[in-house]
Amino acid sequence: MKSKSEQVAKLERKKNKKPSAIHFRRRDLCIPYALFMILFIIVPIVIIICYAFSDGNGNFSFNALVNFFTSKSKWNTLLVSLFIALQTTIICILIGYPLAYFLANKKFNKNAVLITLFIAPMWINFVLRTGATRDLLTWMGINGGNYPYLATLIGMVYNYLPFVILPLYTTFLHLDQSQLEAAADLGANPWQVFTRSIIPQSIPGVISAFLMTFMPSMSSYVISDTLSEGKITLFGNYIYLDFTNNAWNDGSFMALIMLILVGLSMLITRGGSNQEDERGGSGLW
Amino acid sequence: MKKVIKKCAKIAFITLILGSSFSLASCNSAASGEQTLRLLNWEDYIYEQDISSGYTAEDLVDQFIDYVKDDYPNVRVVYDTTDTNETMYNELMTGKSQYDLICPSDYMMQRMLAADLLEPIYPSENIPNYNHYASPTIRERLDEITTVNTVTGEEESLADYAVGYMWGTLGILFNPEYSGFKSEEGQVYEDMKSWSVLWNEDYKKTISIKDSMRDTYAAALMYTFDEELTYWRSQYTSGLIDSDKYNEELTKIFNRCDQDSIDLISDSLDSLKKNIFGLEVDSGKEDIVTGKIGINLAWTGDAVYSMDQADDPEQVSNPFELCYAIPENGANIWFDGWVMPKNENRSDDQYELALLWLDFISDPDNAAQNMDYIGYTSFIGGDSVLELVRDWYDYRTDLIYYNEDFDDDVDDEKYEYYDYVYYLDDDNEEVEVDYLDCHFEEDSDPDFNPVLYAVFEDGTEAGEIGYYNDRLILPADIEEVDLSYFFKGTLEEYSSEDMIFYSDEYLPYGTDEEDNISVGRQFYTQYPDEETIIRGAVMQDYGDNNELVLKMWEEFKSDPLPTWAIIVFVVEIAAIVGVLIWYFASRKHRENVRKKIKNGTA
Repeated sequence: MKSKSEQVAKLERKKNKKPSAIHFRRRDLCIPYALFMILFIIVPIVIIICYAFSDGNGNFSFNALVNFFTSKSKWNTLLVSLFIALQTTIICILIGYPLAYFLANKKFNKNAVLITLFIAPMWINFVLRTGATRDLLTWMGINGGNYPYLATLIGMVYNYLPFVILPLYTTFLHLDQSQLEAAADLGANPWQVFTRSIIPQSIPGVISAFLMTFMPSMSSYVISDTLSEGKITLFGNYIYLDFTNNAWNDGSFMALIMLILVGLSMLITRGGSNQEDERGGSGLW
Repeated sequence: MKKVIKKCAKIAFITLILGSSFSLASCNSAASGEQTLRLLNWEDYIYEQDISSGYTAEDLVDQFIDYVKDDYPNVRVVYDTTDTNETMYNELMTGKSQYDLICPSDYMMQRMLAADLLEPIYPSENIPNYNHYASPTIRERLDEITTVNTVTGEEESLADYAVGYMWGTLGILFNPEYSGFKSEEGQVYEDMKSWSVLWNEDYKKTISIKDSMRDTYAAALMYTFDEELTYWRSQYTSGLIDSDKYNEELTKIFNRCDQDSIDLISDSLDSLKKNIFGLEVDSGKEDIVTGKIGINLAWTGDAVYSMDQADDPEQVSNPFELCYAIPENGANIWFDGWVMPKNENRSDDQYELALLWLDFISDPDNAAQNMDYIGYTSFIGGDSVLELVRDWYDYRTDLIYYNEDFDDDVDDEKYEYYDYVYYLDDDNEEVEVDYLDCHFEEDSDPDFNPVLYAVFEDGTEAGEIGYYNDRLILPADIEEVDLSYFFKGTLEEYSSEDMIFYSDEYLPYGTDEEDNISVGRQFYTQYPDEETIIRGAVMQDYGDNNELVLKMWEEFKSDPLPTWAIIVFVVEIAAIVGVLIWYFASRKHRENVRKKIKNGTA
C-alpha cells in the first residue's frame, strides 16, 4: 500500500518531469543495505556452509559432520558452553530484574544517574575491562588458576549485566501503572500484584534480556580465556583452535552448529514474545 | 526490475573503468622502473625508529631503500606483519599472496617446502653476507632440516630455501624467590634442571604453560620420555657417543608423534593440567613480573623481556632476579627464517631485490641494530654483534667504561660512556687502558696502582675515576664464557680470545660439573653455551600426524563438566521446564474459568 505522501511525491515528479539520465527512486536507497547484507552476511554464511561440507581438497564430504558427532571433546565443550551461558543468563536476570525495577522508579533513580552508572562500563572495550577484572579477581584471591568456573562466571555476569538491565529497564518504564492500581483496588495483596500483574507485563523484557545475554555468552571467547587462565574452553575458543591449526572444515562445521543453535533459541523465544506482544507488552524487539 | 539491472550495469561499468585505470597506473609505474618488495614478518620483529626510547636511526626498511638507491631508485617496500605461522601458511595456500619474502618458523618452512610452495634462494651462492657472517653452528642446524617435496617427490633441504633470521630456545623462566613455592631453599635451582618440575607438587598452581599446541607438546614429550633421554645423556657424558650422535638420537625422540607416543604424552598432559595455574599465550611474561605466577614456559625473547622488566626499578617497585633454565636432558631449539613463496609473476628485478634485502639484514651492523631493538638472538655473528653482546653482558664494560655511579644509581643522566680511560706513567705520558685489561685478583700486581683518568664521549674530562687495581679487578663470581662455537669464523678485527666473555650471568647452580650449565640470566638465555646447543633438538613438522596431535590437543583443552555443574545444570533445566509447564497449564485453567464465567453471566 502506498502512503499518501508517496502518491503526492509521485504526482509532483510527474509534473516536473525532466529528461534525466539517472532516475532516483526511494527504493534505490535500500541498495547499499542490500549490498551490505549480501557481502557481509549472506556470502560468509554460504562460505561457511561450503567449508563445512567439504574436505581439505575442496571435495564434497561429510567428514566434518562425522568428526563433530563422534568427538567426545567437542560435545563436552558444547555442554560447558551451554552451562556457562545458562548460568550467566540466570544470574544476570536474578540480579538485573529487581535492579531494573528500582532504576525505573523515579524515586530511586533521579535524573537517570544511576542507570547511566550501571551502563557506563559498556563504553569501555570489554577486552580492556576483562584484563582489569583479572587483576582485581587475583587481588581478591579468586584467581582463574584455582577457581576457573567462579572467575569466569563473575567476569561474564559483570560483562553482560548491562545487556539485561537495559531491556528490563525500558520494560519497567512502560509498566501499565493503572493496571497495578486496579489490581490493588480489587483486593490483590502486593505479592499477588507482583506475580499476577508485574511479572506478566515484564515477560517480553525478560525474553529480550535472555536473548541478549544467552547468545553472545555462548560464543564468547576472550572472557573465559582470560579469566579462567585458559582452563575453560568454550565453543568459540574451539572454533578458533581449529581455524588456527588448519582444520578449516571442522571449524566451519562447528560455526554452523553455533549458527543453528542461535537461530533456534531466537525462534523459540520469538514464539513466546509474539504472544506477549498481543497482550500489549513491550520489549526491545 | 529492469531499471535495477540497468543501474547495476552502470555501477559495474564505473567499477570497471576505475579498476582498469588503477591497473593501467600500476603497469605504467612498472614500466618506469618502480620496484615493489613485499615482506611479511612477525610483529615487533624488526628495527624501527623510536626516538623516545633512544632509537634514533631511521627504520631498517628505509635504510634498505637508501642502500639500494643507486641500482633501484624507485623501490617501494611493503612491510606487513602477522602473528601466527598458520596465517602465513594460509596466505600462501589461498594463492592470493604476493609476498616476496616471509619469515615463518622452522617447522612451517618445512611444511611449506613439502607442499611445494617455496622458491629456492640458494643462500650459499646468492647471499654473501649470510654466508660469511651467519654463525656456522646455528646455520648448520637449520640447514639440516630436510623434507620430501610432495609434488615433485624429491628430498629437499632448507639449506637451499631458507635464510636464518632469529633463533632461540624454549625453556623455563622462574622466580627463584617466589613465595608460592613449597620446596626448600636452594632446591629450586636443582629442580629446574628437569622438565619434571612442571609436574612437581611443590610448585602446584604457580606454573603457567603455553596455550600453543607445539610448545606444550614439546614440554610434555620431554617429561614423558625422560628415561630414554637420561640414558642417551649418560651415554654422551661418559663419552660412549659423540655429540652428533647424541643430538641425532635426541632429535629422533623429540619428533615422535605416532599414536602410541601421543597416548603417553596425553596422559602426562592430563596430570600437568592439575598442577598448573593456567595456560597463556602472551600474558605470562607480564604475570611473572607482577608475581601472579612463579614459573613460566617461555621463549628466549619473552624471557629476556621479563627479566629486564623485573630488573628495572622503573617498572617494579622491588626489582628481583628472574632466571631461565634449559633442562639438562634436552630442550627445544627453534629458528625463524626468510623464505620466498612461489610466484609466477615475480620479475627478475624483484627476485634480485629480495636477495639484496636478505644480504642487507645479514650484515652484522644491521643485525646488531635489529637485535638491540627486538631482543631476540640473531643468526648473524660478526664484529658488531660481538661488540653489542660485550656491551650488554660483559662485566668488564661496567668496570671501566661506565660512570662510577652506574651500578647503584640508575639515574639516566649518569648512564654515560667514558670514551677513553688512561693513567699517567712515570714520564707523565698518557697510557690508554682498555677494558679488556681487566684481570682476576690473583693476577694483579699490588705495587702497580696508578690513578685512572677518563674522558667522556663528548670530549669533556671526567677527571679521576679511581685506582687502577680497584677498577680493573674482577669479582670472584665472574665466569669465563666461551662463545667461540657461535662466533667462530665470523669475526674480522677480533681474535679467538675475544670470543671469551666475562660474566656473572651464567649460573652453574646445583651441578657438580662446572661445565654443565642449565640455569642462567639474560646472557645465558640469549647465548646458551655449546653444550646446551648440543642437547637442543629441532621439532619438525608433524606432517600427516598433525591431525592426531591436534585431536589430542583438543581433548586436552576441553574438560567435561564437573559433577556439581552437571547437577546444577540438570536442576535448572528441570526448574525452567517445570515453570513453563505450570505457566501454560495455569493459563489454560484461567481461560477455562473465564469462559465459564462468561457463559454463566450470558
